[in-house]
Amino acid sequence: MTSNTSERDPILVVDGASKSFGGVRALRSVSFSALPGEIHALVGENGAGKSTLMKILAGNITADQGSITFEGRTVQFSHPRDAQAAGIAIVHQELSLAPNMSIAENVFVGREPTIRLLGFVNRRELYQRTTAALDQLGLRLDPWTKVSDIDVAMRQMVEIARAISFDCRVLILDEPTSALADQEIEALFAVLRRLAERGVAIIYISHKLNEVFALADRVTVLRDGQWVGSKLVSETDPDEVIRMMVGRNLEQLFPAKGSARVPEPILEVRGLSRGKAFTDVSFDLHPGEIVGLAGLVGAGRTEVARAIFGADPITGGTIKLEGRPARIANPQQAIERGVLYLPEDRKLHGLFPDMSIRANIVAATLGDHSKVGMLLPSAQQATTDRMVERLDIKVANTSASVSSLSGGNQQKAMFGKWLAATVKVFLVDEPTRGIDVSAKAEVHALLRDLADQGVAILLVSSELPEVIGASDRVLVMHEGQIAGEVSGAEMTEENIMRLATGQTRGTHTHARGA
Amino acid sequence: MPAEREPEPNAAADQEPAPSRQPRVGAALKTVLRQREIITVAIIIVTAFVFHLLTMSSEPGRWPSVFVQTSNLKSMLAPLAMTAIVAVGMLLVLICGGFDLSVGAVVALAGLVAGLTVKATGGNLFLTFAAGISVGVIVGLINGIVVTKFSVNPLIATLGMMSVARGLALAYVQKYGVVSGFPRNFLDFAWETHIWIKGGAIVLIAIAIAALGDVLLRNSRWLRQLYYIGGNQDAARLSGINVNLVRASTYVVCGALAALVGVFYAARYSEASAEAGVGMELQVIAACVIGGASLAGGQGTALGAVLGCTLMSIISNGLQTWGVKPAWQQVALGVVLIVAVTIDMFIARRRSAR
Repeated sequence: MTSNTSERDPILVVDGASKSFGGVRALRSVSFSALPGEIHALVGENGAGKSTLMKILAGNITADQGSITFEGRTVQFSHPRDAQAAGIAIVHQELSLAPNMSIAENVFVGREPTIRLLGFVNRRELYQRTTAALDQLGLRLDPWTKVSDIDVAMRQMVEIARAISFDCRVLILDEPTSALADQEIEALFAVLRRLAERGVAIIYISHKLNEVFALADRVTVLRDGQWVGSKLVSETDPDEVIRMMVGRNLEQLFPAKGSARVPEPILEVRGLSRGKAFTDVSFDLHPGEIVGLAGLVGAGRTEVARAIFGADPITGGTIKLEGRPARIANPQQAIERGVLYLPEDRKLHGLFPDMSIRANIVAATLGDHSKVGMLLPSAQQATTDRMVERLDIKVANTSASVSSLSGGNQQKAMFGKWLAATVKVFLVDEPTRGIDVSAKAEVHALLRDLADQGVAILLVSSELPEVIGASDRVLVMHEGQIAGEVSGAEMTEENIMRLATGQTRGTHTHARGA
Repeated sequence: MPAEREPEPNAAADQEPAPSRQPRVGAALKTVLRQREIITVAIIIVTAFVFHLLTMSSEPGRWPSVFVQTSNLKSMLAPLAMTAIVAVGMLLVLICGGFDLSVGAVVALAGLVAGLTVKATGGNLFLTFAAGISVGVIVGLINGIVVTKFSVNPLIATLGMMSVARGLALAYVQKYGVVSGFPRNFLDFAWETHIWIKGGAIVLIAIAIAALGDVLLRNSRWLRQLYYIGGNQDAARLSGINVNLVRASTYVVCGALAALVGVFYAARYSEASAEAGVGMELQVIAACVIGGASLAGGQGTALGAVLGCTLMSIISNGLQTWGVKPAWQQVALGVVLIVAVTIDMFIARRRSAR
């Protein structure tokens, strides 16, 4: 398949695309091309810009700069409709089907063949055209089956059927295998190869390199919103691609690990449960250490952190703080005891977007900034100035609204709110989400600095490099339970993923079983 | 304003906003002008001047106009004071992102209870006020608990309470008739001249409440929490603010202030009827919104709410003196509300687009 790729003219060329969100530059002058009939993998870590590039191609967002050439013409998509009409189809990571409608209605949603004049849906034609689309994928499914009655893998196929029913020339798939089992992945690959043979250009976004090397002809690597390189799969190997993806030494991004761990735990969690969200979670947290909490989305990590903070009620288990049983029923009680929680979504749960930077920073410590029930403006300003300096928040005027800051500085303001309080146990949930690389490094340095001062930190993160780089040891959750713990040299992405996907319980059982 | 933002071409290269350097006096002036209240004050002055011109006598030299006659202006003050007190209570609820439709009904029910008490005690004003206000506290407490503990939408909860309170007042009046024949000292309270105004007591009380409310909303720890809750309720809870307690307290204060007005209302009109305060809830919410509060919560000042009430009472009084029929006054007030909110949305959108 790779033999003649270089001789064909590209069907899709992206030239110098840039895009910023607020202060974060998600994409910087990225160029990219896809040839008809090739399967082109687009890889990169979280935040590398893959999804942004894809959204630009699909017409969900428009690039700030750069051009898109499709079939030799310069195009500008301002709406997903435009991209669809041109022949670019996209299968999203989150499936976007209407579960209570039939497969046929989902495939032709919004453009059902109709009987002229009356506008009724022409059911026979709908049936035939859906069957034709499914046939192309080698699927035998009744078009009138409700989507809620078929499994996730089949729904993925229905999404692809929808895409090819547009007669698409370019098919983009965003992490299509995250919900699929191995044999389903094989079936998907077979379908994609068949489409490629018919001349469709397939852009396959993934961070799973084994899939990339099993499927793709060419691979393009993005990092921090920039193009790093494009290689023929036949001329590269996974190690090289990983080097291109990471690109920098981990030491640059993460400070040296700490040695301030105190032998007596400050937080002892035993058998903590909350309904179906998580069950029987037990672990210790020592002052001076950063413990990572890893796991797949939905494994219950955020729920555990919120429950310890008293934000959600628990249904079982006990928490000990500094050796004494602690009943934390609400966030006030947690804050009084020095247990703080930095939420993962700063817009929804962390910040008061229309309020000033100062008001945000003192939000959790109003009591410390008041006398006989009246707030002291000078004390508030002093705390704010202290936090702005300590966290290096780039701000001209602390009376400006916090939403005027860039993502990284908003994140720092949210940190400032908690650093203004007394912190002993700090539960941080995705502390570097949506901020750029330099701000990430600052956050990691700050966490290590706090740990060195004797704070116990639980770092909830979906980014494995972050969990491994910033933590002293890592707890891994799987389906609401702690599946195991890794530390030292065992802290590798493979070991964590194995635990997170439930392949073993505990790191050593696997070795013994084999 | 945009002219001052010009000198930053090199800031575009930098990711972070460069610190703005503008003269201090200019900055201070800008802060003053940016206060929402200044706009309302300007509109009030313009409106008053328009009514002055409209109601001027055709005979030359016959100044002042009907509108600016002292007697007319004075007659506006006591009713304005009553709406302003309720508006301050409503404002607290609005800042928290809530809503209280029961205030008008509370005015009626509290007036009725106060009327009965003042007759039963032979004019004990302390007990009368205590009884009347406790009606508002009880209604507010129920509102607060239903809205926070049971998470019922404030609109529905207080709509229901409005019906309950008004219904209770109506049931009593239908059975025993309107309560009247109050002791002399109760009526005197509402009509005695203070600060050269007949019935000036309520004006003084309103000034005190508005001033206290304004200061506390700007500086007190408890009331600052309202802005946090209105700004982002989830974040407020996760910042350790007792959201349910604070929200419930706003309904209690709002009910109590409405009840205080209800007691005065009965004294001023020498009777406690079931129709007292009909439509007051919407009038007061409109005034708060005109004064800068937002139905989405997180915004508003007591000064703004009072100014909103002032503008509305100037418009209805002005139209009346100009000879416009009450029905058309209502139409005009509705138009003013819609225009005010539209302008506000426009300004807010332009500000967020920057």
